[in-house]
Order: sequence, then C-alpha cells, then structure tokens
Amino acid sequence: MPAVNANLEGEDYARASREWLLANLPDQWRLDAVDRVPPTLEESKAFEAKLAAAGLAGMTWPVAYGGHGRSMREHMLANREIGRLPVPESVNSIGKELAGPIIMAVASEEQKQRWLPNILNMSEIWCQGFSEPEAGSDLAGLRTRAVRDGKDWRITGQKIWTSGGWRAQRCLLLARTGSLEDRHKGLAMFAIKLDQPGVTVRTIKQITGVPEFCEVFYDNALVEEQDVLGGEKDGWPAAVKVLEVERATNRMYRAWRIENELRHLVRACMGDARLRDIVQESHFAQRLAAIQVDVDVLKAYVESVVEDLANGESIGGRGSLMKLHWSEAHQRLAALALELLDKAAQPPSPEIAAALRRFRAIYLYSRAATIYAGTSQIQMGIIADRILRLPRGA
Amino acid sequence: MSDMQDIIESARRAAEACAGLEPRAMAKVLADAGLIGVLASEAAGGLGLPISAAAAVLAATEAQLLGFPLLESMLAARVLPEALAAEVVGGDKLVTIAWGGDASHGSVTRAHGAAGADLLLCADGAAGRCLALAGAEVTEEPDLDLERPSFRVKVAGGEPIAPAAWAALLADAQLLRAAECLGAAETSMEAAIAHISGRKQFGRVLVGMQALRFDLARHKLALESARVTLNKALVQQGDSHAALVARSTVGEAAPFIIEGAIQLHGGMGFTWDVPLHRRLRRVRNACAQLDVFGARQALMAELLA
Ligand SMILES: Cc1cc2nc3c(=O)[nH]c(=O)nc-3n(C[C@H](O)[C@H](O)[C@H](O)COP(=O)(O)OP(=O)(O)OC[C@H]3O[C@@H](n4cnc5c(N)ncnc54)[C@H](O)[C@@H]3O)c2cc1C
Repeated sequence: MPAVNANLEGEDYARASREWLLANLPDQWRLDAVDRVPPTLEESKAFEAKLAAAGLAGMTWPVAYGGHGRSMREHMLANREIGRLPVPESVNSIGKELAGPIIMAVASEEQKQRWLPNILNMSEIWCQGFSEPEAGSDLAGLRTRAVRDGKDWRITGQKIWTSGGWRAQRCLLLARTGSLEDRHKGLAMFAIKLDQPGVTVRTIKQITGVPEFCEVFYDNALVEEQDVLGGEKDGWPAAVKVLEVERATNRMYRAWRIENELRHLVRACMGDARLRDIVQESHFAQRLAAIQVDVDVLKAYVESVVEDLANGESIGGRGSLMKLHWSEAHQRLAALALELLDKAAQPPSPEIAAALRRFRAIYLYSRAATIYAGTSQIQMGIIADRILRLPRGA
Repeated sequence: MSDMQDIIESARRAAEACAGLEPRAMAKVLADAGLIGVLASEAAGGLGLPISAAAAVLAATEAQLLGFPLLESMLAARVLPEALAAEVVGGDKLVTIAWGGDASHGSVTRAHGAAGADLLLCADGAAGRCLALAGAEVTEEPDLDLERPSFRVKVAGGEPIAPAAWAALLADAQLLRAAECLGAAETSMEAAIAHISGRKQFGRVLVGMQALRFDLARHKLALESARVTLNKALVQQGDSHAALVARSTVGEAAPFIIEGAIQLHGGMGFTWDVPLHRRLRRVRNACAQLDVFGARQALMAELLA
C-alpha cells in the first residue's frame, strides 16, 4: 500500500495526515472518549502497522527500510497532527524512537535491512535494557556481563525497569565487555532476542496499576555474532551521540498532545455548571494560561531543533533543557486538572467522569516523567556541567 | 502528654491490626482500642477528648494506610443521638459521611466505605441529614484511594442535623483531614530519607549529594510550616482564620512532599509495591476537601474587609 500522502508536501501533507487519522482512529480508542475502550495489544499492533504504511511512522527513515524518506520538518508536521488528536500511545515507541535511530547510526547494512522494516510493520517490538538494580542514574556502573563464546556472545546479569519487556521480541541491551573500573568505556550494545531459554522476563506493576516495566534476568543468554551493534568498542559511544539528539526529538508530538489535554480540560470545565465559573477565576485562569505558555515554549524548542538539524547544525544539550521543561510542565498540568475536576458539580457528569479518568491516569503516569530517561536532578547536572560548563571550583 | 502518647501508640497498633480485615472486623478493633469514640461524649461511651486528640490518632492511622472511615466515624459519633452514637462508638454500627453532593439533589457522592455501612451523614442545603443505608442504592465510583473505596448513594428520608452542628462537623473534618495528610507526608519523607541513605550511585551514598539534601530541606520546611499552623488551628478551635491558614499550608505541603519522596526513590518510587503512591492518592483526594483555593479566597476576603 503506498502512503496516502506520498505525493503531498508541507501543510498539504499535514492535512492529509490529519484526515487519515480522523478516518482510521476508532472513536472509542481516543484518550478523551467518554465511553473509552482501549485497544488490545493485537489491535494496537495492527493499527500502528497501518499508520506506518500510511506514512505516519518512520517519516524520516529511508524508503529502503520501510520508511518514507521525509525531512525532519515534515516529521514535525506529522507529529503535530498525531499530537493534536488523542491517539493512544505506541506499543513500540522504543523501537521507533530509540532503537531505530541508533540502528540507523551504528548498524551494518545487513542489520538495517533485517531490523528496521520489522519495527515499522510491528512484527518486532523492541525494549531498552539499560538500567539495573545497582545502576540507574549511574548507568556506567552497570554489571551485566557479555563474554565471548566463539564468534557469539553470552550475557549474564539482571536488568530492571525494562519498559514493555513483556511484549518485546528484542532488547537493545547494554552490557559490560570490559571491567567495572572501565566505567562507560567497557560497554557494548547488543540486539538480543528475548525468546530464548536464558532469558526470564517478570513484569513489575507500576503505580498506575499497569504491569508495564519488567525485571529481565539473563543467564548465559545467547547473542549471535550478527546481533552485535556497532562492534565491541564503537557501539556505545556512537549510541550516546544518538541519544543526545533523541532526547530533543523523540515523541515530537508531545507539545501538541499536552495542548490537546489542556483543551480537553478547559472544555470539560466549561461544560460543568460549577466549573464554568471556577475555571475563569483569575487563580485558575492564570495557571491554565501558564500551561499554554509551557506548551508554546516546548513548541519553540522543537521548532528550533528541527530547523538546526535541517541546517546540519548541532543542537548541543538542548535535549536536557527540553526534558526538564516538559516533564515538569506535564506534572503541573496534571495536578491543576485534578484540583479543578475535583470541584465539579456532584454527582459528576459523564464528561467530567471521563476527564477525571484521563487526568488521574496522567497525574500518576507523569510522576515517571521526571525519573525515566535521566531524572530531573541528572538533567540539571548536565545543564550545569555540559551546557553552562560551570567550573568545579577548587 | 504521656496519655496522648499512649493513644497514638494504640492507634498505630490498631491500624496495623486492621490490615486485611473486613470493615465490621476493623470497626471492632478500632472500637476496642477506644479510637472511634475519641470525640464522642462519655455518655455515649466516648472519651470526650478535644479535636487535637483525634488529629493525633488520625495522623497515626493514616501513616498505616487504614482502610476504614475512622475520621467520619469519630465525627458522626459526636453529632448522633446518644443511643446511636453509643453503637457507633462500640463498633456495632458502621457509619460514614458523603463529602460530595447534596440530599436535595437526590444523590450524594464521595462516601468512603458506604457499601456495607449502616448509616450515612450527608449535606442537605446548609443543614445535614442522617439516614439508614439499609435498602439504599449504593454504587462504587472510580476513585484514587485504594484502601477506602468511594461510593455514590441515592438518598431518601432520614433525620435532619442542625445547620450549626453540620457546619462545625465540616470545619472539623477539614482539620482532621489535614492531620491525616501530615501523617502521610511525614511517613513518606522518612521513607525517602531511608531510601537515599541506603542507596549508592556514582560510588557515593545518595544522601550525601547536596542537591538531594536541599530537596529534603525544602520538604522539611513545608512539613513544619504545615504542622505549626495546623497545631495552632487545632488548639484555637473555632478560630476560622487559623483554620484557613492550616488548610492552605497543609494542602500545599502534603502533595509536594509525597511527590518529592517518589522522585527521591527513582524508579522504585514508581512501583505499586512501594506504598508512596497510595499515600499520594489519598492526599490528592484530601486536597479536594481541604480546598486551598477556597481557603485563600476567604483569606483575601479578610484582607479586603
Ligand atoms: C516508568 C519508567 C520506565 C522506565 N523504562 C526504562 C526502560 O525501558 N529501560 C531502562 O533501561 N530503564 C528504564 N527506566 C529506568 C530509569 O532510567 C531509571 O529509573 C532512572 O535512570 C533513575 O535510576 P534509579 O531508578 O536507579 O534511581 P537512582 O539513580 O537511584 O536515583 C534516586 C534519586 O537520586 C537522585 N540522584 C541520583 N544521582 C544523583 C546525582 N548525581 N545528583 C543528584 N541527585 C541524584 C535521582 O535524581 C533520584 O531522585 C524507567 C523508569 C521508569 C520510572
């Protein structure tokens, strides 16, 4: 199936993308639906495969690997449309947003052809095996070992907080080939198959009630030679560069999605007999407007990053600024939403009940945003050390 | 003072013993410890203690995540007619209070533990109403609280509660809820200190990192500001200004401290098994009752008067 919007550009492409989403996203899956029924895993996979075929995933990936060969600007336009509609979260975002770009940067041609199309057509779901019980913020302290077994590798150790590990077929795994004293120098990256005897995956229930992240135990698990990424020495340093860019470009729909949430909140309030007045009280009005500013700050960052990347310029450490900003902004929105919705007329209308369901989930889930992908404290350290380059003193 | 320590200790133990019990069995445990009747008159079998005693009890039971509407039972036992109050105090009748809605609209909401309770208190305009729950339509509503499920109740009939008594109950409920929040916040902060004191990253114990010490210093400031204002409001009962200040400080401090404790736990703080989220869920609900916004509006009205 050719992408529906293959021959369109710019805003025409965006409009076609929006129309496709409106026509293909089942109403009951929408995150703001009053009678919401979330998709099953199989339904999500089928939908996302269709989404990619229609040109709304893998926008910038080369056509040869199942992508659409679009520019970063068009990637942003498509994400804007995805964000504006309350589309359910991807069940393979690690594959699309993290593994994919790293593979593109460091993998061999054979690996690219073997892995990339399967990410977009959803036949292979990826997860990220970096964190360990003793190595969270201090990733370079990880202990999971990779040892040679002829041309292959054997992995032994434990990972934790592996999101979506229960549904993944492959894990982007970081393991130690050198000694612990080598810190980040002794690390290599593997694309390990999870369906094998040496791997045990156990889900951990999150505060949202959903068992989404996992403990993964590797006991002499096999990585064939063909599944090593970027070689024993070069894989990790290359990946770090990708990750820095990724921090600024992943889930590019985010600003528009937060705006969609903000608008949902305001709409729900304006439809409620009590909240209609309360929401216009200056205290709440100012805070809601401040969230709109938060959203526009994020959009401005995104647009500047896209421009700079398009012009072949470096984006520096902007990813850390953006992550610190949006994670806290999202938490502010969620807390404000609960404060407001709790003041609705009682008993709550179906619209208020639906908004409560959405924003309670966001409130709980957004606690993680300042923890995963480098905690806020770690981002502040990066800003101080690598962006400001503050002297260490004595 | 040592009497108070005894009550707090028995509250802690009783709440611990309640874990996993059915509501009626919990009522018995709490009644045997003398906790339901802390505020009730001696004639009804209660202790007739001031509200500060109830606050201390609730801070202790909240720290244990008690799954029983103890705050509601204490306040109800103080306003109910003596014979009914005695049954509540003795743990023979279960009572709760609907914090949302109004009897005149036909149904009320946010009644924790209404399924299986015998009596319900709710608002009826400026007055209150007390009704028997037998035969009433009770439906569970989605709620954040995991230990004290919330219900919507269709109301019919019942006896009136005088406006003054009902208003006093609502005002005291806010202070007692604030006391629960403080208990939850303090326990969460202790858990965070314990966690980072035992965890090493970058070759150092995390508690040695100044950034985290400063975070905790801010949490402590918020906690103590909340405590000092709440204690003042509890002692100067009936002083509405003190109550407004307490609602405002506690309503800000409690979620701030517990959200911060989750952050200090890193990934561990995001797990179901670490009970921080349970406290956060309850405190978020409590914030609806504390109504910081309403409290500050009233404080502004004082400034303008
Ligand atoms: C929802 C969720 C999904 C996740 N998904 C994945 C995944 O798919 N794959 C994966 O590999 N990992 C994943 N993680 C793990 C995540 O990357 C780690 O939780 C994170 O790096 C923090 O590590 P930690 O949990 O060990 O906390 P710790 O590092 O122990 O941190 C505890 C506290 O100390 C602070 N701290 C640590 N070091 C410093 C310092 N130097 N200065 C100041 N403060 C400091 C932290 O900010 C935090 O507040 C996920 C986490 C969450 C919550």
